Amino acid sequence: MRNEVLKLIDVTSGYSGKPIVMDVSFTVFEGEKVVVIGPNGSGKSTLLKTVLRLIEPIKGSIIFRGIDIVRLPKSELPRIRVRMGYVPQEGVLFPHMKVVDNVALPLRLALGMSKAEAYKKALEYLKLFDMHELAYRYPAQLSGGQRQRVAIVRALALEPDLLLLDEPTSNLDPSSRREVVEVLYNIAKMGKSMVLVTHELEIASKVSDKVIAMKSGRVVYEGPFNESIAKDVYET
Amino acid sequence: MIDLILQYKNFLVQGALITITITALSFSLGFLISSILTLIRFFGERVTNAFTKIYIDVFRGTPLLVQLLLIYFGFPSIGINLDAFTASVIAIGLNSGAYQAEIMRTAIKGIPEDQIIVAKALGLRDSHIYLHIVMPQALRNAIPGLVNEFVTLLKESSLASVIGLAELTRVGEYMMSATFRALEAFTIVALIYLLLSYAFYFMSRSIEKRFAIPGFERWIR
Repeated sequence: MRNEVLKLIDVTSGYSGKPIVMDVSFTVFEGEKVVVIGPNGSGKSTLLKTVLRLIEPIKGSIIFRGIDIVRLPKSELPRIRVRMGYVPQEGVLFPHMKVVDNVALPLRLALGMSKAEAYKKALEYLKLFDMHELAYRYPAQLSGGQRQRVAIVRALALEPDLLLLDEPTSNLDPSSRREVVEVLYNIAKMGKSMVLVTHELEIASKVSDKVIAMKSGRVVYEGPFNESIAKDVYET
Repeated sequence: MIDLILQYKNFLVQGALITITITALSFSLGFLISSILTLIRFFGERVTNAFTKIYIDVFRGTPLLVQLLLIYFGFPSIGINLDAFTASVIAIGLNSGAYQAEIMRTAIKGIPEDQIIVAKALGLRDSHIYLHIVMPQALRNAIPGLVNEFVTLLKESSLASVIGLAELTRVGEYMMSATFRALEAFTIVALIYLLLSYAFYFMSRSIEKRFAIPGFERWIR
């Protein structure tokens, strides 16, 4: 039997006590690729932030590698978060740092690597994804697609147990989108456990082992990709 | 006017040096205070944040001249005797701390919240986020405001003349008393303040360019 990496049990969360995600339960197994789909406002991004406890759950349990992170004191959260590589929408990078610094920073500060080790690893990962030529550029000197790819590499370099990707192809022009999709397909082939939030059914169909469809904060479908169900979710 | 400048050049130079020294020292004191207030605001709880708010409100809500007079003439009654120079630096520094803390607050607010969220998500602790993400950007954002504050202090240091410190404005008063040429004396003093202000604004542009983040230089005019 495959190990559970992440298990959500009846998780409800939102802002100021107002629930946005309601009674969500699902499990991500080792190496499993879970794709969360749903229309805008269905709670997909809130769900990812709840998993990281960037938004406090109102109720429920979030079991990551056997630890219920809802019960953890706040001071313990950084060491758990670093084991979940998070890729935000629009590839948020730190603009005052070069690409290599962006990748090396969490390696040094969150994983406690020495400066030399962190930079060596950052450059290795940038090379692995064919981005070593961008290593000494600043984020403002990159295209949207390049920024997003750097954000993905930054998360992967942490060698996390689970990748959390929040709409990595949103707001990208077609060529940037293609670059990012290519990277996503490569990651999928690497056998990483991941939760990918996306609107793109084509990506969901190619990447997912399991689809979670959300509507109005609730899970309305969980199972293999099914085009008609996926399309239903987007209909009002 | 030239003859007046030549006659009093040593006094003017000395007065200008005292003005610059008071400005630099009080700005540094203010920066130290604002750094502490900013730290408290970033990491603090409700009680400590209330303290910073009271500090800022008191120093921004009362005239600097009153604060200076209170420290110089009022403190001796509680056993604290300060010379005019020290009293000026402390009064202007304490006051500037409140304004610089507000400049830093605005500079920090200019950093998109997404960056803080992502930094947390990557496993960075609050202290890491403050040191490596927030401050490097906030200080850059704050450069124009801080330079503006420095130039404001340069001018406000003239208040020290009221308690007898021989800074630039006081030198103007001496020149006026000795020659009865008030118009020329204070025009000379005003021109020196103007020159110093321009020099610091010019330095500010260099500092901004020096620390600009590549890709954002176009915003500096």
